Amino acid sequence: MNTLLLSLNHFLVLGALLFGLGIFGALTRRSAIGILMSVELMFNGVNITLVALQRYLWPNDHTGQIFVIFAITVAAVESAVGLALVIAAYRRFRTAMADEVSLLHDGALAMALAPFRKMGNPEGLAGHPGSAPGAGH
Amino acid sequence: MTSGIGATVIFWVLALFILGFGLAVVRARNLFKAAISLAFCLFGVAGIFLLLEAEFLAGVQVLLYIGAVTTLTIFAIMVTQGIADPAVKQLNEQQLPAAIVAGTAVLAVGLALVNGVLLAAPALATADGAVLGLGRELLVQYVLPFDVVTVLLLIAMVGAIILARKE
Amino acid sequence: MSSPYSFVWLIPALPFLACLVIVFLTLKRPQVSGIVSVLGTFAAWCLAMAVVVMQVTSPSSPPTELSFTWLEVAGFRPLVIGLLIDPLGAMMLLVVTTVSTLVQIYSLGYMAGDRGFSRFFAEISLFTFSMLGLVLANNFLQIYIFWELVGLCSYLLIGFYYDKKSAGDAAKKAFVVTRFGDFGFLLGILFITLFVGNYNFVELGAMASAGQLDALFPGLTTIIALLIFSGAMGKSAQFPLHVWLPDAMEGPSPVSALIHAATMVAAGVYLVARNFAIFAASPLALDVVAYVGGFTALFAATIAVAQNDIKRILAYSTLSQLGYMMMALGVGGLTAGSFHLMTHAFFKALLFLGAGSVIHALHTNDIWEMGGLRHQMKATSWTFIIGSLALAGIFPLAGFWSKDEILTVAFGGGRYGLFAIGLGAAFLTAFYMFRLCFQVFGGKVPAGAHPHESPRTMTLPLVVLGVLSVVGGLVGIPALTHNFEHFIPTPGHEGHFSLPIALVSTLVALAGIGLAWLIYGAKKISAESLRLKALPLHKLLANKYYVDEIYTVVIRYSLFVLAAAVAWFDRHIVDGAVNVTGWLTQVSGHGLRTLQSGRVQAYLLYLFLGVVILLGFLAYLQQPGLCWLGGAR
Repeated sequence: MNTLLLSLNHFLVLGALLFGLGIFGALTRRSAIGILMSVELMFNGVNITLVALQRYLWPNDHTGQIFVIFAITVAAVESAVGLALVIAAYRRFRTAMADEVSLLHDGALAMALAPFRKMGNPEGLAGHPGSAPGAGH
Repeated sequence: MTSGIGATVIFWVLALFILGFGLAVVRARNLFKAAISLAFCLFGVAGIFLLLEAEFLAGVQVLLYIGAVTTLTIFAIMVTQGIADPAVKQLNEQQLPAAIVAGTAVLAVGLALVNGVLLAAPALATADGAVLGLGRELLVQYVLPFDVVTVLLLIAMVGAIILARKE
Repeated sequence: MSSPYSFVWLIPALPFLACLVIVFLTLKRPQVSGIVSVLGTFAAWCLAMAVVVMQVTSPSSPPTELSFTWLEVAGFRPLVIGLLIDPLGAMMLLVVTTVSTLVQIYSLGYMAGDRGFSRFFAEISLFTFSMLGLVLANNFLQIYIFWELVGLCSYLLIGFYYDKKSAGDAAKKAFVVTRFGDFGFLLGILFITLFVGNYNFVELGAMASAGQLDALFPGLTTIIALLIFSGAMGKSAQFPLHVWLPDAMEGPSPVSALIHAATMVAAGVYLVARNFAIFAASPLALDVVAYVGGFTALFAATIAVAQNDIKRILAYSTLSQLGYMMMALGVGGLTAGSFHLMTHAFFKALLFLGAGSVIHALHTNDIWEMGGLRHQMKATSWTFIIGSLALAGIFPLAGFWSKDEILTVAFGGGRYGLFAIGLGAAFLTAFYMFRLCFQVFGGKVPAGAHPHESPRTMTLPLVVLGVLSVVGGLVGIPALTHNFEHFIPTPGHEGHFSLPIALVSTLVALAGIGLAWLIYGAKKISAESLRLKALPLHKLLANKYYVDEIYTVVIRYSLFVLAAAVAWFDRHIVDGAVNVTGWLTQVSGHGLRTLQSGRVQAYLLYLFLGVVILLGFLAYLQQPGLCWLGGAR
């Protein structure tokens, strides 16, 4: 048993670094799928931490691992729903870039509502062309 | 497994492996390459789990994460055409603030560890039959969350289908 | 309400109803509007007559008050409003409704074909309502409301020809100048609120007489009386605030007759008379009233001598006569003042309506462009001359009795200076009135003019008012046992008819008429040479002592400078503060807008930033639970 060589902190630092890497990716990736992948990295950073703590501090108690099992399950759920959302958003906006999918900037609403235009009155939902020139960023 | 020179070497190799591929996930210009990197990175995490004597988790990690989630991600990348095109800019403008924030967060954890009480906690001996105990605990003590998670999975499945199907 | 007077509220209500009917129903039908207005006021007149009869047949009964609580506020006396019916009010009711009815009948002819016919009658009805409400008010707050309402009606009617700039200016001037007086009035009411809290005339009067007001605060009676008098000065156009009344002649002649001769301008006199008990308790206030009144009487009369505009002459005459009334009240002659108020209302309304008739026929206001009207306009001429004689105070017309009573009171009270002023004003009055009469009705018709008598609707009121000018004074003659003096007695003061004074005043008036005849009738003395001999004096009088000019200069160099400073402050400091608020909001909005970029990742960045900051903050606070962050050691 050589605790000097491999301590709990090694794992914790590894988990923290992976988590930080995930944050960085989630903040900088443009594509929604890239963001989802970064989130997976964050999950794994946490998972490493949980398992390491359990292993070092409560070796006869499996709660930490059970927590990780649930986390993995929920992560699977998250990625399933998240990817479905990405695909749905991609259909509507013709892009999967998170910074392009925005309803707050000019013209985005009109773009988002484009599929509905054909159904009803074209003027009513046709966005707001009058506001476009004056309200530029 | 947490002792000995071999374990230490394995840890360092795995750590470099994980962080290297993690960096590729975050920075790769080609999204498809990023997804593959994610698979390797998660594989490395499975190795860490093994190192921590969580064999069941390592298996789950490989099956569920690498087998299901990463595959799903790759499918999604292929479905959304053009998203993996290297010509498309994959990174946004908030690189510096993001780096600062993420760095500070890691620094906070580092500080916690430097000053922390857990610094030198030794690895304790483990009881045998880890998987057995895990299964027992999961299906006895945590049976209710277990069931709830199954319902969650069902809901997610239905929800994903509804969200992703064509109108 | 079981009082026999419970119908009194109808008196103001009927003209108000007429006003509402005109405004909402008959605005497009001028003829109907006129009839509605006349009927409403005539009905009010009938009721007012009933009130007068009831008051006369039950002499020396205490004043009747019909009141109810309007507002109750915790910590204050409940606000009671109501109607006060006493001989003074009854007399005013009769005067107002009589003159208003006649003026409205006259206006049917005078205003015929005018674009604003219906509007005119709506405003006249509104005025009648307000004036009757003012007369019936039993407390200061209520009278103030109606006081402002008549001011508003006056404003509306002076500016009746609102497309004429001079009319609009005159309306504004009247409104603003009276505001100066009303400011004092309001201040007086605030003083009453502060120290007494009771607005009722009768109760306040009783308190003043008993010296209770001065007990509350030394000199309170004088303060309140003087402040109330400042309101009366504005409304009744007494000396420093007189400048609006001559300009108010821009309104139609019937308006001048009703509002600016007979009723509203008398409201100031009425206000003083109504609160005579308060004034009587303060000798200083009474003196102020007397001297301001006396000065105005003489001052305005001298100006009237040098005026050329027929309505302006009458306006200055009105000023002079109002001063007379104030002087009467000031020397303690409540009876004399109110009596003169009544007789003056009749003959001055008559004169204004007559002047209107003349203007209607000749389309000019300048007396030098008139002449010889006695042949073509018989009814107008004779009634006008009767009115002039009454104003000059010739026996036995109405003016003789009332003016004589004032002079008697002044002489009897030992106020010989004021008595002399009264005599001087009487002389000038006779002179300028007959200067006017000889010029307009005597001599020859100017070339090119084809005057014709006015229609019946206009001459009928003239005749009625002429009759009233003749017999109106008879209620005051000493031979009657129940004469005016018993109706409105002066407390602690008994005026007696005095033959020498009557003779002197009549002689003075005759002298004035004679002088006018010499200059303008027989032309024995050349008016032109006289004018040249006293050129500076004539210029001074013709320019009304330059009071308007002095005001202009004073306002330009004091008020306008102050206003400019205030405007600068408002524009740069007040508006600046507002603008800075708006600017700050805009800038911060612009700043915050960049936060709301719509990019999810930016939000995520803020979220993690928040987490980091929170962690740092908690570490800084050295939370025991966060010792692992290196905080608490």
